[in-house]
Amino acid sequence: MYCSLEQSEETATLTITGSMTIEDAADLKTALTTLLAGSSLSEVDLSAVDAIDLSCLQVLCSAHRAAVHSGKKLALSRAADSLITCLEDAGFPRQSGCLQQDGVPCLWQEEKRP
Amino acid sequence: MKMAEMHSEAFREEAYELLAVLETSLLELEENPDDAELIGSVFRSMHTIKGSGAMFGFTDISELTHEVETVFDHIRNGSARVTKKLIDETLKAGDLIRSMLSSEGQVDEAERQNLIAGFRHMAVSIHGEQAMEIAENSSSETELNSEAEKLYRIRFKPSPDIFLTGANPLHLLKELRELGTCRIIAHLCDIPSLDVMDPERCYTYWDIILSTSKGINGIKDVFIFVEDDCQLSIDVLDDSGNTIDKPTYKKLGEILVERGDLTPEDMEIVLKNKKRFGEILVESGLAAPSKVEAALVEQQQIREVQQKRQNNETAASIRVPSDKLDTLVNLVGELVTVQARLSQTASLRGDQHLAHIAEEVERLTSELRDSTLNIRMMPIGATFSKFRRLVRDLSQQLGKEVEILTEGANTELDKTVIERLNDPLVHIIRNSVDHGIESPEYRLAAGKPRHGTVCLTAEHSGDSVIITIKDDGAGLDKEAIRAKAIERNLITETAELSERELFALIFAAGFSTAQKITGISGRGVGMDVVKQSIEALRGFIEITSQKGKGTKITIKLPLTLAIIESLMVKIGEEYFVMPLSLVEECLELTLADIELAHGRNLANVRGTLIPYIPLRERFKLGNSNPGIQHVVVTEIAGERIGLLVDSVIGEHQTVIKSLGKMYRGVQGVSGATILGDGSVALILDVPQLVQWG
Repeated sequence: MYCSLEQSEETATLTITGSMTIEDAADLKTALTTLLAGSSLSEVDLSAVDAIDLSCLQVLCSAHRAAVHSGKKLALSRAADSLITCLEDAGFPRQSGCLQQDGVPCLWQEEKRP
Repeated sequence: MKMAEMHSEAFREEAYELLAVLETSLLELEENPDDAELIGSVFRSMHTIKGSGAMFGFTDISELTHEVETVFDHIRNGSARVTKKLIDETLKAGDLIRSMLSSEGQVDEAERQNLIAGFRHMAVSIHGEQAMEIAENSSSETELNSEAEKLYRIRFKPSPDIFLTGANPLHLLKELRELGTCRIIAHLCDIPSLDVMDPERCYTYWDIILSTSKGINGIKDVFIFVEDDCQLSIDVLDDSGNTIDKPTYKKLGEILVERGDLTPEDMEIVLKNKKRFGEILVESGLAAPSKVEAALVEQQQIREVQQKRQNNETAASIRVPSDKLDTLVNLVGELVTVQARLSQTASLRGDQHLAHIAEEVERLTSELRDSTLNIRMMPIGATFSKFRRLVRDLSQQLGKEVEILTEGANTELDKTVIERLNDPLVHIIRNSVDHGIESPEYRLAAGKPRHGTVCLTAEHSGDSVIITIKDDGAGLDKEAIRAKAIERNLITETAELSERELFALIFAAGFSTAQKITGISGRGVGMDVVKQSIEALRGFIEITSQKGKGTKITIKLPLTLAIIESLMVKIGEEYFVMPLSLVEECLELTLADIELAHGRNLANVRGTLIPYIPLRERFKLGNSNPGIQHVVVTEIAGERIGLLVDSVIGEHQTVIKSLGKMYRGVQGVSGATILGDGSVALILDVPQLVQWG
């Protein structure tokens, strides 16, 4: 896994490449903590990630939770198809969020169909 | 019959049916090569033949089907597409299997090896050498499962330090997916905020709804290596249907709409505004959203299983050898006869008590008769689908482009009628494709679409079924028929014939206007045989045609051959019956009327002269004509012709008995029936009588 952080005026983007496995979980946590510490609008770009395991999914979820708690926004940018399959295999996609707060969508929430 | 023989006989029966399904699916697949359902159907047919073939020692068959199955497995997985070659080869394989089933030992081994090699080659070219190994592994696995499919609810909660053991829970989920249809919902509510979370701990747990046939042990096997590191609960949701098939009565809204107290539109509006139970729970904080979602997934999957099961239930049937059914129908026939005797005896005796019982028996017998005859009814669709293959092969052979359309495949007819209808229909369709439909070039030149159409329809009409075969080909050439008929001395040169009469000439023996004889048709044997076969089924055949536009052949058949509604008549001391469907009306004919006609057999029916056949003379029943006789007017092939009898008795339920071998050749009579008093009445073959003149 390789991470690069890009900071613009409003948004901070963390771009991750390679595969995200249990060995990278701790690094990912550090990277996400740094990301959230900065801008109030953060984005994680997973388009170049080819595989992700449960530990890293949990870290992403946890980061989103932290962001919501501190009133910030964390979003995932469009992920590669292989990653979406990983998510589906793990049973992560859902209709409604876990967070019991109104109007805050879950990181894994499917877009509402019209 | 030994047990083993019985089993292999059952296998054969099943395999023949599966082959029929296979053929239909393949032909449809040719038109819709991407239809996943059809691909699945082909795969399943092959898979079942393979599995049960191996079980009953038909190893040759199972070896061949295995190769076909392998290729279709790839197609099912989307790694290859259906090609025309594949359809051709699979049809060939189906034919070979059919011949292997019917003639053990005398199989064209070279052909079999060729096909096997062909399919192997296809499989290899789809996926490289690996494909073969994968397919072999997966198919041997699928053969092991014999348990019925059940629905399981699994909660899998790995221990927090599962990552440290090197286990990957996602791999386990993947393995579960391979067991069957699977819905997985991850519960993420235990994941803490980033600052306090340990990235190497597992916080997630899952609810899984799995529909599989591998049994609970199959599921446990997946978790065997993490058994000690997780909480695992597996519940069967639909143990033999007890838990989930409880009928739930209609919802309030449905009842109100049904009673007309609420319009469906109003209900929609109310429902839109109404919050769902799940939403209410989540809002009130009583249940976590992911829990509600997991429950909803369970509900949905169960509904799907219920739906599937319901579909299966409607298709549920038992297999009965057809000779058992024939025996049943014969017995019911006897019963109807005896019941008629009982009723007659009861009315003669004037015994109230006996009459009451006789009435009861009559009612039961007629119900029994109807439902027994109903059992023998089969949809004509199976026969229709055979013709798809016929048309496909013929048009390929002749270099024509012909499409076959069928309509009314669900129309039911007596099993015997369907069986005996096959050959005449094959003949007619061959004629249509060979002589009717022109070559693509010719069609284009004539301003018609390139491909010709043969349209097969079946529909009920009263107590008959009407089958039509229509093509949009060249049509019949009236002049050619006329010339040919004159040449063969069937008509004189000056004869004036209606269109209908002219077309009817092609049913004469040896009549063919085809310029050249092909391997398929044109020899002039056939249409006369077709007519005879249809008439043997108590049916009629008629042709209409328009030159350049096409030909339509209409066949009208009775629903059943075992029992018919008929009209009973009497001549002297003899009783006769004739099918009621042929009878138009009955008239009186006095001696004065006969004198008026000056010895010609013509009756004046409301100003129209109708010829009649005096049956008393025809059957040589003596000359003691009663003063008033009756003419039963029938309509055959558009002509109204009367039959002169002494008196008309009335309607009769006639159980048809065939005549003994000695009397097969007797003209004008097609069978016999036994009357209530035990005497025999002959069944008149009206079309033959009319033809005879």
